[in-house]
Amino acid sequence: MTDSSTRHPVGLDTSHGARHRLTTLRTFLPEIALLVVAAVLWLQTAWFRAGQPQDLGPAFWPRLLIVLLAVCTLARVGQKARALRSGGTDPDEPRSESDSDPGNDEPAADGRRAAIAILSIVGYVTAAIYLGYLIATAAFVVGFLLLSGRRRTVLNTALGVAAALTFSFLFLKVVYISVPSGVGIFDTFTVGVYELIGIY
Amino acid sequence: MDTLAGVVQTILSFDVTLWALLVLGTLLGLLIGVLPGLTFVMGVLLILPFTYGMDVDASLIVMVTVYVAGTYGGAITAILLRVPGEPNHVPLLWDGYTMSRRGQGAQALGWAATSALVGGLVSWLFLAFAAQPFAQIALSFSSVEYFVIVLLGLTSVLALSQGSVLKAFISLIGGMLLATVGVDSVYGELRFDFGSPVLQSGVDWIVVMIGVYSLGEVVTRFANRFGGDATTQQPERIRTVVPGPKALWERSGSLGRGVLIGSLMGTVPGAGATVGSFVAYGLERQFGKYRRDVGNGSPAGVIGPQAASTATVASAFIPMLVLGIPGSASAAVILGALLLHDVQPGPDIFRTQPELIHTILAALLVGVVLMFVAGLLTAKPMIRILKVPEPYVAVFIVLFSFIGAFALRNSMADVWLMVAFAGLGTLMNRFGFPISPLVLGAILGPLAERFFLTSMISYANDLTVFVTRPISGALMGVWVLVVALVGLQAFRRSRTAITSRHEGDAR
Repeated sequence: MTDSSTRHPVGLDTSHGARHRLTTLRTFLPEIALLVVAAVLWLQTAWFRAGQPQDLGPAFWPRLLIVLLAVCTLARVGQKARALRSGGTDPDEPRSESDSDPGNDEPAADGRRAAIAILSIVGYVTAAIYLGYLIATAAFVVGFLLLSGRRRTVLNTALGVAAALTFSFLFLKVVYISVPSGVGIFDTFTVGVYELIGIY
Repeated sequence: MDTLAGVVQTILSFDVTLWALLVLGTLLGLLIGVLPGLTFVMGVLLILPFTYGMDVDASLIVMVTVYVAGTYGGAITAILLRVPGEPNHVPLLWDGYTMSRRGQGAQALGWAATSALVGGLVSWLFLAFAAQPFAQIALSFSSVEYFVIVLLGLTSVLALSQGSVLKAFISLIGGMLLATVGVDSVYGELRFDFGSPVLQSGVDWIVVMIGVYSLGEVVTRFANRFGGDATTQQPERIRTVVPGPKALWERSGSLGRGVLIGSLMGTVPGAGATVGSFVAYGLERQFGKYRRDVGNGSPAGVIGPQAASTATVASAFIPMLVLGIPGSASAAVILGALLLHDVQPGPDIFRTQPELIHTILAALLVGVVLMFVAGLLTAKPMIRILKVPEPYVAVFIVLFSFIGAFALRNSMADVWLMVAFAGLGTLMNRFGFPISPLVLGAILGPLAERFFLTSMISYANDLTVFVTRPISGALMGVWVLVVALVGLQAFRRSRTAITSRHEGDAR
């Protein structure tokens, strides 16, 4: 076995070690997160009211689940650590996104794009509160299609406006779900459009 | 016989609106089945907000028909284009598509349609005639028996998990913990609300399902750049040739096995059409009369999985109606719709609400027949629909998901929770944690807690009650067998992984 310090200058070796630690930390990230969640939830159960002495109480069931979660997570840590020590990869870890789905030959998922998709949905929900469902839906359809690589602006805009109007009509007039109409000037605008298309 | 008469009477009483809903539900189900990235579970979920304004009969009819037809639609594209609209149609790629390439696409489509029809009808008979006697037995169950049944359902998810058992278990516990948020049903204590009014009313499992299934899938597909676009290839001629009686008789073994597996898998919570389809394919490959041909374009590889897929639908209603425990994710959504309409399933439902049972049976029966007819007539337009680029489908899934979550309680809090669960679903996909156990945990978790705690209150915390009562004792025996099976499965997988690693090292 060759000592790595004989092959690399000290600075490089330190950065290699730091990178190794970072990789190890990333490998165990889901398990660390799960253990933190388990600890936080366990602490929360201390606030639950104690029942009668003969009762199991409202904390019993969640505590049982938390213990099971922690035990399984620790077992996963052991499984991964054994795999790492033996120089292999964890057999239960998906090598790519497609591994988790039999028959799927898609390209691997891109974390940055997943974040963009989630942020765009968060933006949609936020916009629905302040700009109203009508404007937010039209804007979301156009934006999402653009982000998905569909650059036919006229078609996307027409689809966005049509979807916003149709969905608003359908849900407000037919199913009686009162979707948000926005605040201030946006509320006035939305109500105006609804009056125009006969919803109000 | 009363059941049959009731069903016939219900079908005859359907007005134009209900017939229109039956046809609409069937066409929607086929369409949803055809479109990749839009599963029939998502379809039933996305239909849900439209049913809030309907009466219980109409909402059941539309959801049931979407569910039934959704198990078949994807077969058309799997056979003709090698695009499985649904995960349960993956086995159809191996033989159905091979038949298609050999110029036997019309025969493959015919076998798929006929198998779906037979699977649907036989499991319908199973539901119509076995559910009520089962309900009679279930009337004698106490919380002790119910707890053991729920425990069996939870454990069967692990037995049927295709990846790591440990990860499936973590996912299941996660779902059960989610269900403890809010006011607990036994002691009335507020739990895990973290001072937030959003969490005080609990986490509805429908919100969890919309988040992790529908939105999570959109995020994952977006991250994959909507890859694997096989939608531009369009076959020249699309025909369906229904097999004759002689051919049907020759293949009756495959049909019988498929129907049996589907009917059994439907009753197991968490199994559903996908597991049924894969198990039926495995059986054909190992034990079927034509096992040597399976994998090389044999009708047996189409018949077994398709019959099993559609057979799971009716049988998934048995535990749902009798015990209030859904047999599949789609049945869970339909259960949610029933609860929203103040209908509480249970063994008493056959006595107290026979009309509702007749409506479900009628919708299932008509739905299966309509699925067959529409499947034969609409294969060509369904294929054309695949020309619609996937981002357009995805954007509409987001719009429907928003409404689906919002409409539950007219609350933006549920929409935010849904987005959070979409993030969780994406992370679970990323790290290889299965999603189905999480959802099943969220559905069965509260039942498990309630039945366990009420049993303990009734029997002075005596745990032996689960083995000393005859029915629960017998069920505990089955549970021990399932646990042993799960253990054996996990052990075998780790051995296989170690062996293949050693072989890799040796090379």
